[in-house]
Amino acid sequence: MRAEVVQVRCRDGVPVEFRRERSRTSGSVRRYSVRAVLGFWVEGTAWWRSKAVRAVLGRDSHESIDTTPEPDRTIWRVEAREADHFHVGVYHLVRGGDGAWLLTRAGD
Amino acid sequence: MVTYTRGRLVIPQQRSSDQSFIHLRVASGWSMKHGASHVEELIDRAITLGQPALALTDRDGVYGVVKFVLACQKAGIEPIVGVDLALAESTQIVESAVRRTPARGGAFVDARLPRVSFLAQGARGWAQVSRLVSAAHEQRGNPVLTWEKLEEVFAHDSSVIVLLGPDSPLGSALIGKHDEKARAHIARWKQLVGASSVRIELISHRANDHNPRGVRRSTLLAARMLQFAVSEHVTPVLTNAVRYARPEQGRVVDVLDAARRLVMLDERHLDRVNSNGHLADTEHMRAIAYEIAQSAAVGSPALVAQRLLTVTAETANSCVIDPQADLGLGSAHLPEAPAGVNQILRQRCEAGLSRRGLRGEQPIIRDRLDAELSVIEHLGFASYFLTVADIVEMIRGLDIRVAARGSGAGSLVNHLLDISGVDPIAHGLLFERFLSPLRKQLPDIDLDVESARRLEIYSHIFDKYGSQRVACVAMTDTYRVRHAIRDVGSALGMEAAEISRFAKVFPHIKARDIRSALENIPELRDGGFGKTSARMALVLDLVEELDGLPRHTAMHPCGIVLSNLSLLDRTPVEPSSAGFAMSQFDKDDVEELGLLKLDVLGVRMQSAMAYALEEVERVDGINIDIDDADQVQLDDHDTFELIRSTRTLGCFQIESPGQRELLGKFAPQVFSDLIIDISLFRPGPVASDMITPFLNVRQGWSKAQYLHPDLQPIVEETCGVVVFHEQVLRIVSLFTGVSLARADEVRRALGNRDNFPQLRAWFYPAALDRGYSLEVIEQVWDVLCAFGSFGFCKAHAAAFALPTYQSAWLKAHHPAAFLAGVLTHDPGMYPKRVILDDARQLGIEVLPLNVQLSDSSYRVERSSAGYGIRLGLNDVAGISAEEIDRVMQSRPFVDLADFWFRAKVSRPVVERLVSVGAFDWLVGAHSSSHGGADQITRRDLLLQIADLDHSAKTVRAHTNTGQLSLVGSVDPASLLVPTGLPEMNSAEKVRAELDVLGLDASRHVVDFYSSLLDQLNVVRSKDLLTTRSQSQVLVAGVKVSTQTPPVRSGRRVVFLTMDDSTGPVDVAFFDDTPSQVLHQVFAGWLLVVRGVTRRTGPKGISIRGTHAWDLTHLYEVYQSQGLGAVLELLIPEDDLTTHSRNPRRNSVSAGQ
Repeated sequence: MRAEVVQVRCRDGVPVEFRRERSRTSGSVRRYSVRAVLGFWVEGTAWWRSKAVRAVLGRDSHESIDTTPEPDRTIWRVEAREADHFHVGVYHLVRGGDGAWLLTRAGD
Repeated sequence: MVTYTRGRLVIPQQRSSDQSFIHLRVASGWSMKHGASHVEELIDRAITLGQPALALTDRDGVYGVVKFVLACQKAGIEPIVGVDLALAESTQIVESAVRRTPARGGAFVDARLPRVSFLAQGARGWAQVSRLVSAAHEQRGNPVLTWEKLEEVFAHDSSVIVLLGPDSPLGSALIGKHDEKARAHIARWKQLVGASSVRIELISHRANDHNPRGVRRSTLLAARMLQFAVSEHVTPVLTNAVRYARPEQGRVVDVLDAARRLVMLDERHLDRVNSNGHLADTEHMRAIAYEIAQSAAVGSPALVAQRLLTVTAETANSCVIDPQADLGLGSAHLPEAPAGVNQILRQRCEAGLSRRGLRGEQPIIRDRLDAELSVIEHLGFASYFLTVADIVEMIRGLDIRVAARGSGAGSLVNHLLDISGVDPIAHGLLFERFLSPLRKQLPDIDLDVESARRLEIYSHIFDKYGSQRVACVAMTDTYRVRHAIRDVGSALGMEAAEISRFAKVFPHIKARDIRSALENIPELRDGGFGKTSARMALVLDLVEELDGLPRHTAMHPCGIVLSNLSLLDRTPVEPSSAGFAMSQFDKDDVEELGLLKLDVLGVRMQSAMAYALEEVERVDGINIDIDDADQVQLDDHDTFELIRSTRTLGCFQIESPGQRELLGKFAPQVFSDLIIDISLFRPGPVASDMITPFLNVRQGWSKAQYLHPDLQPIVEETCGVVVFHEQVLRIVSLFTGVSLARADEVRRALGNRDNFPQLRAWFYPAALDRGYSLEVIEQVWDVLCAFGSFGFCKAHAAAFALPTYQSAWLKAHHPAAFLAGVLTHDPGMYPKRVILDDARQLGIEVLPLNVQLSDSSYRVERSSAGYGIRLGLNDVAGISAEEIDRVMQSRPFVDLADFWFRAKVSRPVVERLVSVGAFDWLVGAHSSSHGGADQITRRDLLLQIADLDHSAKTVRAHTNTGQLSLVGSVDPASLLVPTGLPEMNSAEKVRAELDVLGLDASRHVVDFYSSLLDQLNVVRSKDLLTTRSQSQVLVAGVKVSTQTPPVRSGRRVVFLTMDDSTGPVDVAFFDDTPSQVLHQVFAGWLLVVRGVTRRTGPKGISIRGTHAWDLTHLYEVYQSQGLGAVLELLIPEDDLTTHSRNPRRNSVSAGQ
């Protein structure tokens, strides 16, 4: 699936709830509550594929290049249940260095 | 708040929440191409984070330990030291780990063996770590420990802490869930070093345990290891496997990994998964401890985490190092001294007195000897002097030239022990400048030896003292701009050609100066690199971050350390490429460690002089001991006449254009003048203009000024100018009453402007007390401030003056032999063709290459006509040592075919030999005239080679096909027929010589242009002194060198030296020279230069250059269009320069 922007609420730094965009079918916001945290880890970015490097290699323009290193991302692997649904799925919530959250895995 | 117990830091029982973390596993930049931070950075960060101690556990070596502990001491943080080594569980793995140098492009270089870390506890622990490192390096290039080596080092005891972490065999076993294997591994360690010395090292960077790259830094594995530690009753500790100080430096680590593995950046090739491997703060480490404890579920996570942190601190506590007590810093560890060593030293000095013909009963000598021996005894350094004396004696016994350099020449003891050849009393040199009772620091003695035989000396020293007591010294290359660009560029995947182009654009500057270079260096700034800066921003950033990181360690070219049997307990050694054991520490570190360091410098001039003396003996049958002051007296008239003539090309120290200019003005008369000359010719005196007042007095333009009559005896020898350190010492001592030793301290302090106020506050009252007037004191103080740091150590200069004089003596009396030595060993700044031309000027014939007569090197030949120098086979392009051997063994040769068949030299080389006349003994005529129809020429010989080669191939071909070789019996004589082709003319001959030998041996290249040069009234070198000062001249010649030295005003000056077949021509271009002129100067080889002359002394003339042209281009114009066209090109176009210096003509408007 493509990474999806989500809103996440945490307690003591741990995700407890998240909200996905309105789905095309239901037209409403999908709410999930986290039942268990299966684990979390930190990942760096493949900075050697960044725009700054592409510029060096002549594959991208050198206008407004930012060479500051991108901060690490934290990935939370959680079990969550969608509001008004029964089954619990495993999701990956990714927190970027800028504080924004993405959902990168959804499903069972 | 912290207390010491037997030198160990004791961290008092703090409240658990107060306890600061201490990092036990840290790799700095000294883990070459692995760690990204300098030790200073790491220390700074630890201090900022409030951590009381810091460990250094570099990979495969301890290169940075000395600098680390000293920096820690200075910064106020406790050091812990250790090492991170690879462990091979079996010999098979060791063998497979040994790989030959791979080509770039993905060949697998990094064996990724399991790793174990060791922390030293106390002096014994350090000795064991040192020996472990030496043991791991037994095989060059692939450091690895085996159980065998471990058992040797820990045979009797163990004073180390062993860290078994996720990278160790234990970690691997637990990843694979092979608990039995894990238990067996632990048991082995417990047996080896004792259970209390083993720690299981927990590390988590919060990596993804599902990812094979991340599992070794995951909380999951750390938890498993914690569980294992608990069940096996082994103490766990927490570390962070630090490779960089700040999280942002993660990229640098990636570049280093890629560089080390010779690959492009890609997940597959990198170890780092995130930026958590930095020197983290206590809070972070607490959180990690908690997460591990939580995952391990071996008890209440909070309590388990706290316990983990506590035992980590306790372990750190037990490993804190006291640099003085544990590493031996600050005390001397000299080779074992025999009983009564001071007496032995005295006896040898007494023997030296009679050998040197000095009268020991003279008070000045007796007092001096007693004073020096007393200081030596007080400092306990007698063994040092005896060791150096033994080594010098050993070198002389091998018949190798040796001469001491440096302040050691100021010691009478050194002179009597034959270490130094200069009489310190006769030249007023001071012992205090060399060795002071106030500084308990080992003195520094440097020995110049024949460069060609330096490694021979090393072998003998190692043999004599044994490998337990001797080692060489390391020298580490760090990243500078070009290497940084190459490694960053390759890592990012730039094209090889582009990387090369970009790297070569920069001069050899520091990596961190790359941006400033792009902005400030005119060639770069104006060369259109502005856009490049924007595109290459990331490259520039990464290059800056690599600045100064160690890249490669090699053997220092001169340093040797000698010690007692404790050497290998203090420093580990690894084999250098030459095969000698090399300490991992550099020359400064080994001195801090109190080891006796001797610099044995290979000096080509010494080899050249030895060679010359051998030639004199071989050719003239005269045996000269150039060091014997009776045979070669230091006041020889001919020698000084040569020096004054400034025709000192090839001579030691005095051959550069600047030096020759100074000699021209100075006109040295006696040996002590040479000492002064060497002391004056340095950037300091030039910059502060000490030379002008000196020369004014010397040349009689003014009288010497003495600020006070008491100063006269001190500075009389240098015409009233303070030139020598020794004079500064005497002045300070005279004015303040302190000892010369104390005065030397003052001199050192004067080297730093910050000390001036303090020193002044002491100097003035002391001098007033001695009765000097305030006015005089102020003037003297000004002189001390101005010249205190620019002065030169007279002993240094005296030590240098001796070989300088000796080389000049040899040139004056045995020029052919001397120049043969210079040509063979190439010690100086001028290319061989210039030296050869100098020989010609001196009336020495240059004898061409001849396969019947030439040796490998340059040899003197004597004939009724005088002396000649025969060119040597070494200079033939592409010839191998084996070929030279065969030529010399197989001769004499009957003809070319005979040479071809017996000497078996490759065809291209034979062709080159023919083309430069090595077979001219077969040729009809040697003149430049064309060969007659029945005369053999060089061209005929070349054709014969072609035939010989072809027939050889035909024979081989026939032999290969199995047929009988009827063609085999070729009659060689029948192949050599004169073809009637013209012989090479002299221009072609010279071109061939330049091509093959790099020398215009038969005729000077400039000769070919003499018709044009004469027509243009070009002034030759030999006639320059006849020109009027301030006159405009044309000069010409072959470019010998260009130099851009730093000068007084800071403005850029370019010095050009040309050689025009009558001598050298020196021209200076100042910074108002148009860039197209400079471009011509740099680009061309044969030049015509216009300039303005200036007389500077009796034999001195300087030229300020204004224009330059390419001579070959002018000559082409001359031949095709005539003299007029050339003159037009040479019209002094004042309007080409924006600031006209010629007020005469301004009629031509600036039309460009």
